[in-house]
Amino acid sequence: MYAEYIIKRFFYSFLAFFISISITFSILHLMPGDYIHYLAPYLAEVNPEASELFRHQFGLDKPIIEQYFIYIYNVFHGNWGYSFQYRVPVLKIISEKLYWTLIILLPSTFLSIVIGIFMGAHFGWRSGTKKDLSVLNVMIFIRAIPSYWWAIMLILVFGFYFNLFPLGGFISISALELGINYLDVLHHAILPIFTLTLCSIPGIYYLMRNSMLLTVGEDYIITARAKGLEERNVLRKHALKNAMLPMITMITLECAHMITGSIFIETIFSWPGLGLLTFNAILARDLFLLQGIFLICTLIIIIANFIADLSYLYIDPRIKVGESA
Amino acid sequence: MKIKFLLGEKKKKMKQSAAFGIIAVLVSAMLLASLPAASAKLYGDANGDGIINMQDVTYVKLIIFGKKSANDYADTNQDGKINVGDVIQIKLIILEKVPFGRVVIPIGAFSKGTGSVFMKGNILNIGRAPTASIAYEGLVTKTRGGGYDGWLAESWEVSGDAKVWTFHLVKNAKWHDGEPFTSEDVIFTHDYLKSKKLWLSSVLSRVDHIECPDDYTAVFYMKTSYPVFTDSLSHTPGIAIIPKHLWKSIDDPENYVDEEFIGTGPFKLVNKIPEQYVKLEANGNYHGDKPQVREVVFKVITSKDSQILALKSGEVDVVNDISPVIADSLEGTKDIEVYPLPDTKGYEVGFNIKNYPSNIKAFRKAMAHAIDREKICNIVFGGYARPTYTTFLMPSVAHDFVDQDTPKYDYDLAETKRLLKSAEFSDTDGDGILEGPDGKDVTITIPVGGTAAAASGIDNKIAAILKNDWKELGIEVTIKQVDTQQWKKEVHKNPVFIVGMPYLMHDDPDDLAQFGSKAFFEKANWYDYDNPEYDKLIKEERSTADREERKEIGYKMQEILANDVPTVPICSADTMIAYRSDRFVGWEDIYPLYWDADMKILMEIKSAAIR
Repeated sequence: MYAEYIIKRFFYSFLAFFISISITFSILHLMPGDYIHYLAPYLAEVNPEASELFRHQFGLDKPIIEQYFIYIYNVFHGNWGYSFQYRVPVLKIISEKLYWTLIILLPSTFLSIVIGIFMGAHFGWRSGTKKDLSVLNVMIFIRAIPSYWWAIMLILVFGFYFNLFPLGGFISISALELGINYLDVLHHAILPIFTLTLCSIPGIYYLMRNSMLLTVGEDYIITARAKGLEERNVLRKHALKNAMLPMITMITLECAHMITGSIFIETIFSWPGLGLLTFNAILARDLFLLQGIFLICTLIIIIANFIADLSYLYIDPRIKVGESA
Repeated sequence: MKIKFLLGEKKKKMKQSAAFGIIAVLVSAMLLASLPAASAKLYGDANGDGIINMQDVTYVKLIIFGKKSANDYADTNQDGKINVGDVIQIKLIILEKVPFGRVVIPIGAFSKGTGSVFMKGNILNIGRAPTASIAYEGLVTKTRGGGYDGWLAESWEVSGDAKVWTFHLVKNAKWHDGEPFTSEDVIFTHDYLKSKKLWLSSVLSRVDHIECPDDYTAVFYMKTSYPVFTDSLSHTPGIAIIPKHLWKSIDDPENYVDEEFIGTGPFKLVNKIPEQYVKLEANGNYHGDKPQVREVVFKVITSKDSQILALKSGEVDVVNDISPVIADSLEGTKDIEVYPLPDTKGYEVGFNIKNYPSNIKAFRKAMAHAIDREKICNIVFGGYARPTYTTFLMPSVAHDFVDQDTPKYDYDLAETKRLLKSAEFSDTDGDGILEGPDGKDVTITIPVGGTAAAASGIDNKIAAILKNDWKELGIEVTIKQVDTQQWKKEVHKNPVFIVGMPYLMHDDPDDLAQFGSKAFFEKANWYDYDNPEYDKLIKEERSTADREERKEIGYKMQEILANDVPTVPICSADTMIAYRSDRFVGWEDIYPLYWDADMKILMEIKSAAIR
């Protein structure tokens, strides 16, 4: 039964992947303009040869259907092409950027999930108290202000006025002579991590608090209380476990979103991550790089969903395999 | 039960301590990591007064004699020892015999300009190579006066029919790895670009072949007459000469990542940290005047706001292309100077000749009188711009190529109203909106987001002013924000658009070819302007070598344009630059080709610490 379910899930995931890369391909090829127009706009306008040479070089002058099949063939053979801008294989550049993105996003995602769930559960359980309402308002305040404003303010206060942290980048200039010092990288990473954590706590907190509010009203909680169980145990053993269920999808998606990076934070902190890379690739019409980035994102999100689906099997015994259909 | 309770209590405490733990780790990490920020090191400033002068010589001598304690900055030649070598070094610095100081220049992550070439594969991969690379050179470089300075070419001459260009090369140039530069490299660059079919070779498409009578002469034979060949060679994108001895073994330049960037330029690459820093140092073997700065570091700082903060805190020494608002706010800040680089960009209102209502010539002429240039200069450019009235070519850079006698379209709303009325544009149904000769309301959509005008939303602001002013005339304007590449499609669908281009596109009659009927990709130009008589003049201009004759042809072209009005000039605007006057001086002494600190500027500046 499980095997059948897993195979079915796997098949659907593959189908989703195939459809989404086809859509990605079409959309990217429908975009007006090309790399040469970005790089040398005036030359490209007046000298048709530049663009022709360029299109020929990268096979962009072939019929679109042919390009599509070449693309599909290459994707499944691990040949994702070279970036126009950087002249390196797409996968190499993505993995390099992913590394920098994860340095700030891994800690901040972890911290925000832990803190968000803890606070959401805590105040959801004690909803309506003064503490709960003040925390709720603070969270609304944090959420209402865009992340780049927080980033700029934190840089201004802690970086510029107090001079505690660097204004941006991932390494000090002395690294040119001394090489990369990881303590130095950490020093540069703290403000971006803090900003990211601060800005993603409210989302998780909301969901957890709401989930907890719904759970608190359930009959089994009343039953548990009526049995004379301690509040702490009711919370931990009965409420928390059930309230956590909607969080599973949230957490897997949060983790999947890690790899798309954070464009605002990366721009303001000059952090060379994936968000910035994507934005740049769109501006520059760096076609193969864009295809690669979207492919990776699709893949990760599909895998994350697949894992979430599977984990529900174990976490929520109410989900009966195959019977819903 | 009791045991269970105690256990619970313990767990609660554990939870609390875990929370405290997380906070403590965060706080301690913050404290631990808040290392002191590295300040700019001034090797040679032994007594630490921020100035390098004879007192430092005395100070180093005292250190050598053991009268003063040693410090890092006394080790001027950075060999790890403080001895008589440092004394000599300081004296050489004071006499300006050796390059000195490290200039730090911020570059954006999306920069295509100076310094960014080192982040992007290899030298053939970027559009502005020679000047913006600072490590490579072309044959010639363009000057502000409209002439050319020799670079790898000492002198050059052109045959009467502009079909043979002879370049006499410098004899003492060396590649950064010590190999001599010869005419072989010039031929190789041409052949390589063409044999590999690189897009850059389109710059040389009119070159038939090159001959080299000797090691220091390169003769370019053109397929057709090409009077503006030096213009194409020198900029946007321009051709950088590459070393034959290294590139001949590179088969796949499209996918080649250069680690060394060996050129002939005044600076050579030392090392880089990807996506963060690039460090270059002065090339001691440079064939021309030697640079006065010892090191150039490019630092990636993505947002302009962060660049300004870095300038204020002293992390970087210059920020280019700042907005008028920021320029004004920096005015009067200690140790920061702001100056305008005059007339770097030209702006126009373009009309698409095919779309209603701008397909009516009288309408275009009427609207040419409805552009309040003074207002645009003051509001959009904060006063850092001047109105222009001549057609397309900018007087400040094209000089006598500009025909001053073409009809001018002053700001005169009464005249606009008169012209509109005589062209049968009037509000017939009394709804406050003009109806055209066909009885339909005149509504105009202006697409914004294209060309150089899109930078910091300038075209959007200009369009907003037009919208406001034209409303009084009874014309409804909608502003449509699009992506740069989308914009090129939108101009063909709408009657009015805003164009902004760098001054290099406004300085020669050849630039007027942009109004040729098949100027863009054998396709229509933005204006959909199509005039056989004009096309004939373009051909004529392109096959004429004599400057005076070209000027005359250019005058004829401008006359036609002024009469047909596919475009109305608005103004020429400045680029604002802020720099730290306590670190380097000389920024304002030279006009660069590009306005991000390019090779010309970096050759000019010197440390402010030398007295």
